[in-house]
Amino acid sequence: MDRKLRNKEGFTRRDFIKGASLAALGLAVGVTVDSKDIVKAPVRTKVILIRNKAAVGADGKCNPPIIQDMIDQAVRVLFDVDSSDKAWKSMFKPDDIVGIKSNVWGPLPTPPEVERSIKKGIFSAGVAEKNIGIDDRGVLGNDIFKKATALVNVRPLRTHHWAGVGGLIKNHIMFSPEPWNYHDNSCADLATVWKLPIVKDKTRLNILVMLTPLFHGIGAHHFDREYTWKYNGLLVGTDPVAVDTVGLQILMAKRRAYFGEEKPMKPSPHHIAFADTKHNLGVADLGKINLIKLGWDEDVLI
Amino acid sequence: MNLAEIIPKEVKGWHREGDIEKYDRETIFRYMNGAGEIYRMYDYRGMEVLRMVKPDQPEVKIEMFDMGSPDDAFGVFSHMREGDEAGVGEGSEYRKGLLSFWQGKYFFCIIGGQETEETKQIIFELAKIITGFYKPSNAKPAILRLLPEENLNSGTIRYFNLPSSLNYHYFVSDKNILHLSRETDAVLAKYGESYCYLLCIKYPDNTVSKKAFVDFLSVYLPEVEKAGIYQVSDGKWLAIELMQKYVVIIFDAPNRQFAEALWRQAIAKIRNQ
Repeated sequence: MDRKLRNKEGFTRRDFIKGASLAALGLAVGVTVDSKDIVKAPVRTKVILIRNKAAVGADGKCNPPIIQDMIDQAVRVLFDVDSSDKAWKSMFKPDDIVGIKSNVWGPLPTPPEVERSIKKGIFSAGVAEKNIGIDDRGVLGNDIFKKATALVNVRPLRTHHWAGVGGLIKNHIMFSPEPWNYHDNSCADLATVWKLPIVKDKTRLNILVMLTPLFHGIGAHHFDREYTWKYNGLLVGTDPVAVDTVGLQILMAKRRAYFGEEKPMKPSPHHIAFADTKHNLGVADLGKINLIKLGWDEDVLI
Repeated sequence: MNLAEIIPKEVKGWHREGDIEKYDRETIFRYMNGAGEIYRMYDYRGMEVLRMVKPDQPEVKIEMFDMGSPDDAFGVFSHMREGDEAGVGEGSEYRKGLLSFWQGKYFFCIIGGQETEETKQIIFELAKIITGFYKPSNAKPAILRLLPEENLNSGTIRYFNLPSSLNYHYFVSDKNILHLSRETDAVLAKYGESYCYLLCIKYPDNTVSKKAFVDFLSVYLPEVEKAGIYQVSDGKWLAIELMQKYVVIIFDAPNRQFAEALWRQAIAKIRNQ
């Protein structure tokens, strides 16, 4: 027997069950975090959940002024400042070149209203419009992304046939010229994408769009509107692992409510836990995440 | 494999559109991104895609996958299924405009861009044409016969070879501590009402099975050194056995009695085969 294995060269299901990263494996009920009195907590561990009942209308379209207000409120609280302008200015300088890494997946893309609100915020920090780009699959050929000094990462949360969930950690995979190299073991080591030079240390803001998340899917042909719901929320933070962890808990809670039983994700989204335990990209332990909830709280699920 | 030979140019008012697309083990990602990995976990040899159109109806697409053998055609079907049998080919499922089924060494998906009464009709009509063309294998992987019948949820049976498949359905470890490979046959199935799983693996020889047994215990259950039934956490029991080329593990049994009954039945199945 290889004794190194016994000395925890790897991670097993039992390690997660014993440890606090269980939540990020999508296996169990999440911990409700009491967010009172933590507004002054370090930005890095903060995750802002903001919801507005009117964010998505009956026609399924986003309400632009409400989306703008949600994002501005969220960054204000995230950076603990008294105006959204100050928040954007704390993230970006006028000489920055900023790429907004979006997601164009057909059935559930990043809403253009969210992209436009982010762009407006970056513009308010003094960044020239010509130095702000929005892209997804074309980032490697996009001059703004090639020269970018800063990134904003934004996409909707959904279940994913191969990674368990498609969230913020996964969204940067298009920065790799060979995304399939990250497929092993259900994309377990996706966090290593964040070490690529084109990405490393550039992502200043992460926004997980929770307006109409997809909470269930089956196999490769994977989208059914029945498995989406109007949550009307955004999760905002600087730590993609922490934001994904909170998002995953909301999806798990929705699955429990919908199916009437604990229904583990398939495959397990262990890339979120590994982003913490193996790759130190961020925090996947709900007990260490300062979740601040703003706005509409009906059926908040966390 | 040639969809052009199977599907007529016109079927009940639907016409073939464009050329047949072909994708091999490397190019499959161009067609379906990361989902290609599901097929590559098996002995996937290649696929063809044929599109059918009719005015005022969403496109219907036929995907045909050569899985190399009936075992692997069943395997990839078992990987994806979640619902009830749809009565097509050797095993099938229909969900909202998507019919998937296997026949012989082939796996098929017929997909309507959107489900309408017309797309549903043409999907089943196309499936009828396809299943009439290929002979059924009339065989499922032999290891399925080792699953005890009592409390078996037959819709959850998964057949596979690789650790990535196991972790997809039930995450065990990021390392291949059970030494799964193309040389192993494995089946995973859910038992009872809770999430209790039975995993049965057949190795190429007794040496590999023993190594897998020892390594699994050492990493996953370091507090024990032999086969048996163990409580691993509140309300979760694990049972494990090594029998010649076979390793059997029961995960997440709700209590000792349930684990022991299933364990004994599985052992008897292997002994009596």
